[in-house]
Amino acid sequence: MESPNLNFFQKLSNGDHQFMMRLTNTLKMEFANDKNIYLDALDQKDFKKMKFMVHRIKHKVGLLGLTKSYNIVIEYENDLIDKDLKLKDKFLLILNTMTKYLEKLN
Amino acid sequence: MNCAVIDDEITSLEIIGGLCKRYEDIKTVNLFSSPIDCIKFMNKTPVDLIFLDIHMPNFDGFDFLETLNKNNFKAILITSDKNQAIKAFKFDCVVDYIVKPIDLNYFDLAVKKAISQISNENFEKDNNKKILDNHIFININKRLIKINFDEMLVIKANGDYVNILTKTKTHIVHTTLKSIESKLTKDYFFKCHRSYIVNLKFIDEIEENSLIIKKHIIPVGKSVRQNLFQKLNLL
Repeated sequence: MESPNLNFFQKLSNGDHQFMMRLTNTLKMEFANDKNIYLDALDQKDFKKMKFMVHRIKHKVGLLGLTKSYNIVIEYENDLIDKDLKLKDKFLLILNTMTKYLEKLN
Repeated sequence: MNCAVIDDEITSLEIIGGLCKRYEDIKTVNLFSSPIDCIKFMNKTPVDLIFLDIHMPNFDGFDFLETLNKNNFKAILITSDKNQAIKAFKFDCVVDYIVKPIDLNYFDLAVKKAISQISNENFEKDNNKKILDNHIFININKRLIKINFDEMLVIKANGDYVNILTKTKTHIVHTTLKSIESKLTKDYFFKCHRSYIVNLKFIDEIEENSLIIKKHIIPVGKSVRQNLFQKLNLL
């Protein structure tokens, strides 16, 4: 699987270390929260909420430069309209990859 | 210009808010995680440009645009949903549509486009205001008659009336010099005496205590003489 990176944030912050730190910390905090809400919604088979959270997480997948995963998430988001969970495990793998990467960041 | 960012994702607010600081034309950036909070803010403070997410819980970006459709602002939609552009551009205020994650070059183009549109519209508004500011309506025999400022030569107090001398005729209006003075643009009109206001454009000559406009001799008060000279293009 492709590896996450902070290229977008580096380009965005343009050498402003404080801005970079603030963006990274916000992303870490918000991603953890989004992931938990998604997993709760998955447990409860609340497809509307799942779709909403997948949509929110999709942006964060893109922010970490995971371009192939981004396309999988788009597909998964569309599948959820029809309550189709065939990409659930792939999505979980993406979530875990992002979690591990973000946990390593200071 | 004042700008607002509306997005339920804090990460997006941070990103867009940070990008906005790069533009000199954007003086203030207000961040809102809820469209309702932004509407409350806009009830008190005018906003020129809004960066707006579409998918938000309870009240989404389109609800926001429908609610404030008649307001005077421009919007750039920034969303992870690439399928809503056609709907978005049905709103007159929408300048551009950006798909997340933001392409920085595209963001730059969109912001410059919005700034240019806002500046042009402000320029037009100022021009329209100037058009309205170049004349006065006077009440003569229950009729309102328009007189352009560039036709008015001299305004003279005459008891309870004021005589307005134009290039072609003299109008006698029941008003005071003070009242009419407040309606004139100070760039072109000057009160040279307690009973006279003159149009600076038409002054032909100035003598020690008077000036001449189209053969009319108008007194000039000693106390305002220096002020008059400051208004003129003297060698």
